[in-house]
Amino acid sequence: MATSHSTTAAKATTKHASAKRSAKKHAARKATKKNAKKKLPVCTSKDLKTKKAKRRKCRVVKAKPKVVSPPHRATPTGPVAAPPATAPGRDAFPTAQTPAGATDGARAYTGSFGVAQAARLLHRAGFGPVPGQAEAFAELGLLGAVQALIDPGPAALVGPAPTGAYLVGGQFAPADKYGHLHLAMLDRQVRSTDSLTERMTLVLHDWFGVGTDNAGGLRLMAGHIDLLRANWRGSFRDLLMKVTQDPAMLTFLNGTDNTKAAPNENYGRELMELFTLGADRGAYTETDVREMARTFTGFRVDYSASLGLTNFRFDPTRFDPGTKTLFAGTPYERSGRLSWQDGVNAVVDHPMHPSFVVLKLWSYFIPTAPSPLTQADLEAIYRAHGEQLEPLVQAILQHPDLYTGPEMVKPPVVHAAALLRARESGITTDAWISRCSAAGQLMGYPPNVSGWNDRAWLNTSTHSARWGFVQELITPAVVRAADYTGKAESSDQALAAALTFWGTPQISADHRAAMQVVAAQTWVPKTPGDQYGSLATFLAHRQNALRQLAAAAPDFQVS
Amino acid sequence: MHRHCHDYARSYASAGQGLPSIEPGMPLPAGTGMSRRSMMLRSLGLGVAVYGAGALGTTEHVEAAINDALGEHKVVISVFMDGGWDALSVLAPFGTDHTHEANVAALRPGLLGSIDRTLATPLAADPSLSWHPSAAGLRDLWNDPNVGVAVAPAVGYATPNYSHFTSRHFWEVGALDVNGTTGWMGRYLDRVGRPDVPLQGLTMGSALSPTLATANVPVAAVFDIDRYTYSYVGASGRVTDVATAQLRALAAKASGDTQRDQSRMVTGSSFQLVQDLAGTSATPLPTVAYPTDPSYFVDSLKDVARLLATNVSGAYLPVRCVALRGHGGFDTHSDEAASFADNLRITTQGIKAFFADLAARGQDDRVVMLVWSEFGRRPAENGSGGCDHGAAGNAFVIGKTVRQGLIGEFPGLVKAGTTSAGLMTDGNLRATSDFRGIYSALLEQWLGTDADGIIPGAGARPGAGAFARPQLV
Repeated sequence: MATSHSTTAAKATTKHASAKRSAKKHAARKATKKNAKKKLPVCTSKDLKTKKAKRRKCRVVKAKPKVVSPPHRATPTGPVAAPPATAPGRDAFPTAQTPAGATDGARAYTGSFGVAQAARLLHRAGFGPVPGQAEAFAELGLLGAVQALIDPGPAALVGPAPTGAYLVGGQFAPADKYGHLHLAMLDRQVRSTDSLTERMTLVLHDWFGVGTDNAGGLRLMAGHIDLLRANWRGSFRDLLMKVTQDPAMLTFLNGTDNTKAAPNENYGRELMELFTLGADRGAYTETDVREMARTFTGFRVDYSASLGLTNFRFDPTRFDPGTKTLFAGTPYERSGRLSWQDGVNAVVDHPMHPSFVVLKLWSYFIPTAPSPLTQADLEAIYRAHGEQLEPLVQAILQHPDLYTGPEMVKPPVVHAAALLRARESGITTDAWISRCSAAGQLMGYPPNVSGWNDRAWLNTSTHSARWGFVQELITPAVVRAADYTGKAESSDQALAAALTFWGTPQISADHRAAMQVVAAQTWVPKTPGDQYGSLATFLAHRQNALRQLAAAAPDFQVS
Repeated sequence: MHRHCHDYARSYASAGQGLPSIEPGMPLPAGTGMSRRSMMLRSLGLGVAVYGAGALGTTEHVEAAINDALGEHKVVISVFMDGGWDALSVLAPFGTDHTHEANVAALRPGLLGSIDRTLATPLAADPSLSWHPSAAGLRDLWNDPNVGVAVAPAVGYATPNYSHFTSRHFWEVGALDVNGTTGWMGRYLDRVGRPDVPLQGLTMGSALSPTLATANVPVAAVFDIDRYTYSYVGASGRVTDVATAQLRALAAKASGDTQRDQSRMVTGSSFQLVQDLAGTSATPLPTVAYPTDPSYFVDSLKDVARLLATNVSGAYLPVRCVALRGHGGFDTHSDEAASFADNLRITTQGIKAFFADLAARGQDDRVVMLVWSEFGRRPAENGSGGCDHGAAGNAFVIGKTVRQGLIGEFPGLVKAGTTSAGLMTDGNLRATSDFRGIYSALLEQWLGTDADGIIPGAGARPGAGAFARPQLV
């Protein structure tokens, strides 16, 4: 079954981008025919078990597995049947099973896909599971789970809407109030049924590194994020065309300062160095930086006291119409009266562009480098699909390295959103602005144009902020002696209750053992030095401590 | 203390920001990894360190061990001017000596015009250069008989890289190596530091500076020394003591997964740091006047001064290396006049106050500060009221024991093609000193350890190394 689907999909995906999209949408419509209600979230296993599907208005997703394959290689012939999903726990990641004859570097993982693997996928591609979601994804199998992320149907927000006095008329005000873009993004990360789109919005926010203070302020910054969210599934070429003209980017990298009379190199340099080609690999020269700056001349903007920066436009009188030469002396040299669109096309058509995109995109999902074979296959997928990111993401999410390789530190906002999702909590406080900032990731404010340092999230300072995340979520539900009056709670019950508080996540054996030691503490009346005056007091303290330990332990920072 | 992180956007880039390593050809970010071996060593602690030194039998070693225990180390503080500051405005090429005036007027009439020459003071060591009026903090330190300032008017390296991130990475790792993963101060800490003292290498902020990235020993980042605590909600006493002990025990175990172990290591360091910082709250706030502008950099300087003055039962805190980021961003592609002067003023006045604070606390003789940027900006302005990325920039070494003078000469602004050319063919300033020579001199002359083995290519001491060492102390 999987094979025929794969073949169909492979054929479909070699077609023109828009044809592929419509074919996929068609397939999606067919697959969910019985549940063809609009804007319905995917059901969790809890919904299914409790037969709440209808009441919760969710749709049952049937797995529509497909393997994204590079066009120049045969699809593997029949994956090895996956062993039953046994939820082996976080310590038991199996090694990849390579299907016989499959040398394909972009092959799909065929090992056991249990709750642990599903939870990892949800942390890497989304913002962690809501309670029961990892179990539901495990039931879908790898390909079905990835498909559910790739094609979630029309996005909807489910779960508690934001509350609190910081809201403006009950809403976030990302264009007007400091930190509200961060909160609005966090809210979507917590509640959207299209987790992958929110994750890719975060990825691209990091990729382009636009920051509010130098991008003309909150309004333009919010527009930039909307642009990224709306366009990530299209071609990267098209995205770059849009980003180049984006008022936030034109302001951020001095596009509107760049004129024929006085070229400004800022955008031309970072476009090649950080967005499309990469530094220090011989992809371009300093001359190319200067020539590229000339191709991007001509954008301008007005300023008015009431509107701020306004009327962003291309002004031919400021454009340098002369001959420019890009990548001189190479087989891909471009020369002539190049326009800014020619500049964008030149970098996307550059032979070293696919390798840059593949490695950069891969690095957001998998901490180890891809094999040369995988790298080559992913580059081929990128070109074959008209420079779309979506098929690349799909191939990466299916790749064995994601499931058999090392864990990854959860980025700060992913961790925050995942904790909120685990609690099935909405945004109830603007403390998430300062808390995430202290943890090293305030959305809207990447540290510079190269984005956040995604390899160094953890240090003693951010660790302390992550501890605070957990405190923030324990506080409104803190248990008191009164909650335990007249009750008992065994060690096992205490441990289970603390894990249930966080949606019963997968935890490592070491982490569990540490919690067990705390859970095994008992109240001994009148113990010298003990401050607990009653059993109920002791049980409340123990439970609160266990909840902190459950979500603040080092093993819980990685997935 | 109320600190707004939203002040620290792009141009206030974090010093801990490395490069996305996995992108082709890009440098690996300097990491913070510790080997498991050092984790094991940590549990052995100070007893072994002192015993080991004593067993060598020399007075010097015993003394070193005692100093180590007391934590009264010589300290290096790195201050990074983020974005590539406009060196030709910090020390502008005009003065009582008019050598460069015609050239600078041709290259950057607008930027030159934005400096009030009546307030710019010529640099005594080279009167063809003048301190920007907003660099008065540095000028005052130069004039202060109790503080030495060494000025590098054109520091860089022979093959300039014009990327912020690559050039900064070179400075951070102390080598022209895109694959470097440890910082130059990190390697010093790996040589002399201890496996159980994260405070020995300190970044103020929420991102660890890659200059401090070590291979073996722990280092720390702290945003606010007065608010670094770990507490539990609705729990205290025995159960939280046990919980914290369990976290620390878990932190000391190896799992075999690199990232999980990294997380464990940071957890262990964090709880250790709470102990290391105990006592700072009792150290008084500064009595000298710092700039009153809201500035995380200035707040950080106050914190560092307090840390260095903290003495618990006769022992100073074990700080050896500190990494800070100057106030504001200096990537002035446009409208330099709008931000440059204020950022320069707050940074340099902050530094001036910091040295006064150290002197008032009796700690000024054990601190040397290096102020640097990833490059200087292009001599020719770009027409947006700013200038693009350039090559050689300037750096300053400051301290009570620092020998005042120049590190290399200002090469002038004559265009490429003549023997006296200060500009290279691309119009950027030629370096007359190498940053690795300054690092080597700091290591050898101030910290008393060989640069060889820490700075690649430094060569053994004594003798002619690859990089000329300025005489700094």
